[in-house]
Amino acid sequence: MFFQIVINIFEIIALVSGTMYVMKFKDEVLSRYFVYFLLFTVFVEIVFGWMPTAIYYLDSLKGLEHYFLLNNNNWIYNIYDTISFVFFLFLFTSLFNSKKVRKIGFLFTILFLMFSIFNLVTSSEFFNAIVSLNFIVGSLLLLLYVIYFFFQMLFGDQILDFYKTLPFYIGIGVVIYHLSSTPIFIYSKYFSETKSPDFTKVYEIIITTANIFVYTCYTLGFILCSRKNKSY
Amino acid sequence: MLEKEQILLIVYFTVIILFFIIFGIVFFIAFQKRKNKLLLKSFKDQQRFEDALFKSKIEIQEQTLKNVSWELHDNIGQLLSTAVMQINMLNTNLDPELANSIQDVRSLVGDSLQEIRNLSKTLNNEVIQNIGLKESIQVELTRFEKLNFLKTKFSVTGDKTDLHPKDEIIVYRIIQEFFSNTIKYSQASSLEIKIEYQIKNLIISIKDDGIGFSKKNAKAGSGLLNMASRSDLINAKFEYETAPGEGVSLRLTYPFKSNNEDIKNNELG
Repeated sequence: MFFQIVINIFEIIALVSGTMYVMKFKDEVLSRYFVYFLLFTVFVEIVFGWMPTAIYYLDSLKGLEHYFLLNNNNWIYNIYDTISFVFFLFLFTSLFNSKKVRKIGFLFTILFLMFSIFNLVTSSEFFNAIVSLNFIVGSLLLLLYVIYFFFQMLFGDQILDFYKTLPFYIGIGVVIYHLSSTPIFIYSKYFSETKSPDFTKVYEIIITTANIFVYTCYTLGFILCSRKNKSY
Repeated sequence: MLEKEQILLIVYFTVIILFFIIFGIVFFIAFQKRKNKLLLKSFKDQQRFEDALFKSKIEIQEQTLKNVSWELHDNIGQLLSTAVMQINMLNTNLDPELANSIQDVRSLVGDSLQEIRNLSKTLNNEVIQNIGLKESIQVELTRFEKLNFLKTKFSVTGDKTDLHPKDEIIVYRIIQEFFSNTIKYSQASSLEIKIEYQIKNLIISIKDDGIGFSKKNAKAGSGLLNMASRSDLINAKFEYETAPGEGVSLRLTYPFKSNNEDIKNNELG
């Protein structure tokens, strides 16, 4: 519970700084979408993240328990993760300069979307664990996109003040978060005090650290980038 | 039997490691390429800078020569003209014996005046550009003949083609440098110049019959280097042939400009 509160606080800080950034640079469409996405994240984390706890403590909500299967809100996160991967893939694809690469990027994003929907529908884990195949493929694809984006930055003049470009921070945060949390999500089936208490502890620590890292990255990006004069 | 999760984990890490190795290699290659490009660029910049420096050096030289030429023409020329007029006035009321030697002095001063005017012409690049390469060389040669330095032979073949004015003056300065070397060091008695206008090239050959020099002992400051770097500037080929006791011969091949080189020239100028 403590970990969840910490994560929520960091998410809200990132959302607030992002909102301020977008209000300052009104012409940055991609940044605005990114802040919408952050808003969506905060909404999911607060409403659905706390739902099992709320059901547990409040008798009036007991009727919902059927849908949330005791302590398990995994199906929400399965959907959320798919949306999140597709969003980030689209975000980085639209930052590619080469038209050809952009086309390929969109193609793979759509393929990934279809692949993960298919996986979600056919998987037996939809309700009791994170569908790890989606997470693995999504993380690797995202890594590929972000590294391509970094290469593109490296060979352009953007590299001269890379610390003033928001996508740089988004890329760093998103890639490190997904790479470090994927192994944990592969074993998400064992996330339960009764099945493996040690794993539960490690799971919580790693996920919390990764979340703190990624939202600090976003916040830092928003603050540092709002010092610049021109949009990227 | 391994569990499904363990297999997935192994595959995941293998792919990640593979990705990072590939990215590392690509990064290294790309970095190397970029570095080489940068080095090449800085080298080219350096070269361009040196070219520009040399051009401006030549421009300053031309300006100085022009100023000297004006001074000679306007100042010393005027003084000598006045001297001639004074002598003419003196000449009218003198007895014949003195008048004769005065007449000699007058023609001496008159010659000096003419000489200085010619010299002034060969120094001023505007005059050279106005009257053309061939005539400028002719003026210079006539001057040598008159001063009894050398016997000269001058021939032009082919259809006259116009040179770029900036290049023309550089070609002329190379020829002039050769002349001055001939007069200063070679103890030559005759000088032969041929200008050949071909379709693509202008070929200038100059030959003297002086003492020549050994190529090994040629000093860098002897003007050869100067001539060579000037011809580099206009993309001309500069060759010379010499041996002790056999005179010096020079061959300058100047290609008429294509549009490409003209653009390059403008960038530098």
